[in-house]
Amino acid sequence: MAIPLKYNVRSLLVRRVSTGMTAGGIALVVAVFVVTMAMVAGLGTMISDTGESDNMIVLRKGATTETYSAINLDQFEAMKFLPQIRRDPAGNPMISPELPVQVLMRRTHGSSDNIVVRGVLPIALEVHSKVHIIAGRMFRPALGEVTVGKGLVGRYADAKVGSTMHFGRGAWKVVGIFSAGGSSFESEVWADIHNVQDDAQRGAYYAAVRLKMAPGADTDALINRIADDPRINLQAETEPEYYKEQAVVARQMNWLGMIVAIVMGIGAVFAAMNTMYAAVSARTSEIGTLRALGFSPGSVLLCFLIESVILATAAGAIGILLAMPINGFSTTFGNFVTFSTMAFNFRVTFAIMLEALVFSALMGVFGGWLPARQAMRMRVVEALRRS
Amino acid sequence: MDVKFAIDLEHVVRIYRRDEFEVRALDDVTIQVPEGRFVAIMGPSGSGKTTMLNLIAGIDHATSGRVSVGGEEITGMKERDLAAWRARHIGLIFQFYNLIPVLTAFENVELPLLLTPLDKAERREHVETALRIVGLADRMDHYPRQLSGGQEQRVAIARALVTDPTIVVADEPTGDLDAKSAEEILNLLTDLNRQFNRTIVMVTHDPRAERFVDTVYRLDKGILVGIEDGKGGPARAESAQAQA
Ligand SMILES: Nc1ncnc2c1ncn2[C@@H]1O[C@H](COP(=O)(O)OP(=O)(O)OP(=O)(O)O)[C@@H](O)[C@H]1O
Ligand SMILES: [Mg+2]
Repeated sequence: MAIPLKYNVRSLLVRRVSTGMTAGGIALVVAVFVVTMAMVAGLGTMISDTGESDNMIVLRKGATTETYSAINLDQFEAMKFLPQIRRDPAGNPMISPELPVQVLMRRTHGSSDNIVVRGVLPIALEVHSKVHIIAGRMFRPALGEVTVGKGLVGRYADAKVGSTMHFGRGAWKVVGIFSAGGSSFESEVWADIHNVQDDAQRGAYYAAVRLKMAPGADTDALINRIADDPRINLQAETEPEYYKEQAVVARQMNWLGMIVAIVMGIGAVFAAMNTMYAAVSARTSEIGTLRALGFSPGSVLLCFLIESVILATAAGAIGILLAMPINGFSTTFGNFVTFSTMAFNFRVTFAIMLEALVFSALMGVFGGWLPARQAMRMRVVEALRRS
Repeated sequence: MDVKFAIDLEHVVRIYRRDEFEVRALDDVTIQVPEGRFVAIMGPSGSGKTTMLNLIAGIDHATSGRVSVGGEEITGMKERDLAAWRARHIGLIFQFYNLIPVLTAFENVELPLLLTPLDKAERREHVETALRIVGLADRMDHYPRQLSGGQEQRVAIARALVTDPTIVVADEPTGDLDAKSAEEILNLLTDLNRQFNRTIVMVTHDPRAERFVDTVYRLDKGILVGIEDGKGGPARAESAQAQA
C-alpha cells in the first residue's frame, strides 16, 4: 500500500504560502487556456453553425470565399430552374443570389470596423432557414432599407430599428433585426441586392448564389451539372463543406492558443518544480523516516509525484472556475479570411474543462518529476541525519 | 545445537568516504545478541554507535563483513527487498521521535501497518493496542505538536511495536527528554523487553540506562572496546563475545 494521500494533502496545506502562490500561477495559466479554447470553440461553432446541410453555395470556379467570386446574370438564369432546386409553396425556386460587400462602420464607442453588408432578395429568408426576423420586418426592395443581424445590436450605435445607418454612398433605414442561430450572418447587415449593386457601382453581378436542394436531390449530379453546363460553368459545394474550409481560422487560433498555453505552462511547471524541490528539501527527515519504516523508493517517488499532481489539478480546477464567467460572453472577431468583423460567444464546453484538467495534471507531473526522483534517490541514513 | 541469535555481526566494517578522507566508523566489530535481550551500545560521540545501529536495522550497508538479524542475512540485500524486510522485522525509535507532523498519533502508528496485508479494522485494533501499551489511548487524535516530548516518544515506541517486529532498535531514545520522561521511557522499554520478550538494541549516552539493560557494548573510534553486564538483568553476556 502506498503512502496515504492525506499525508500529501495536509503537507500541502501546511505550506500554505508556497502552495498558494504556485497554485495561483497554475490557475492563471489554466484560466488563460480555458478562455482561449472557449474562444476557439465559440468561433468554430459560429462558423460551422452557419451552414445548412441541404443548402449549396455556388461560386466562380477557383474561388474559395464569396469575396473573391463573381457570377453574372446569365449564369444565374441558367441555374435557376434546375430540377434539383427546391420550390417554395408559391412555386418559386429557392435560390438566392447574393452580393456581400465590406463597409466601414463606426462602433458605439470610438473606432470603426469592417462589417459585411449582404445584398439579397427577399427569397434569402426562405433559403437561409435559420434566419428569422425578431424585431421589425424584412426590408422592402428598392427603398434603401436594411435588416440588421442581432450580433450588431448594441455594438454599433445605429443598429436599431428606426435608426439610419450611413455606409457606402447612402443612408440606409433600419427596419428590422434578425437572428440566425448564432451564426456569422448575425454579424451582417442585409440589404436589397439591387441597392447594393447600385451603391457599389460595379454593374449587375452577384458574388455567390445560395440554393436549397429539393428533398432527395442528387447532390453530385447537381454539382456536376453546375460545373459542366457551359452556360453555367461554376463551382458548387454544400454549405457544411464550405464552412468547414472557412473554419481554418478557428483551427489556426486553436494552434496559437495551444502554443501560448504550452509556453505559459512551461513557466508554471518551473514554479511547481521549485515548490516541490522546496517541499522535498524541507521534508528530508520525513522521507528518511518513511523509508526507514519500510516504504520503498518507488512509493516515495509516487508520493511526491502525486502531491505535485494534486497541487496542479486543484489549481487547474480553480483556473477553470476563474475562467467560467467568460462562458456565453459575446465578442467580435476580425475574420482574417474575409476581413470582416463577426460576433460570437465564448463557449466553455465540458471537453475544454476536461482538457484543462489534463493539462494541469500534466504540469503537475512535469513539475513534480525531478523533485520526486530526488526524494526517491535519497539515501536513508543521510536523510535521517538531517533531523 | 546452534543458539539462534537475534543479532549476529561478523567482522563488520563500515567506512565512510568523503572526498579524500576516509572514516572507519565501524572497525571489525563482531557481536552476537541472543533473542530477548535488552542491550545498550555506549561510547563517546562519533564512536560509531549510530552506524552500528543503522547496520543492524538494515538502513545502511556494511563495507565488509556479515550482518544477520533474526537468523536472516541482510548483507547484500537489494534496497527494495531490504525495505520490505525492515517493514516486517524492525521497529525503529529515534532521538527526535521522527513522527510525521501532519499525521495524528493514530495515523503515525498506523503508518507501518499500511505495508502489511491487514485490513482497516485490523489495523485500528493493532494501533489501539499499541497506543494503550504506551499509555496514550486517550491521545490518539492529537497531532505531534500537541504532545509533550515524552508523549511523542511514546507514540514513536507504539509505532515501533505495532508491527510486532523481530527487534526494536532505538537511537538515543531519551536523548532529548528531561530526567523524568527519560525514566518513563526506559521503564517502558524494559517492560516491553520483559513482558513481550522483545529484543531491544538501544544507543545511549545516558549512564542511568545501564541500570535497565542486560548488556552494554562499548565502542570507541569504531572499535568494540568492551562488553559489560548491565545491572538490569542477570549476567547473560557470556553468550556475546568480542573478537578484536
Ligand atoms: N554519512 C556519513 N558520511 C561521512 N561520515 C559519516 C557519516 N555517518 C557517520 N559518519 C562518521 O562516522 C563516525 C561515526 O558516526 P556515528 O554517527 O555512528 O557516531 P555516534 O557514535 O552515533 O555519535 P553521536 O553520539 O554523536 O551520535 C563519525 O566520525 C561520523 O562523522
Ligand atoms: Mg549517533
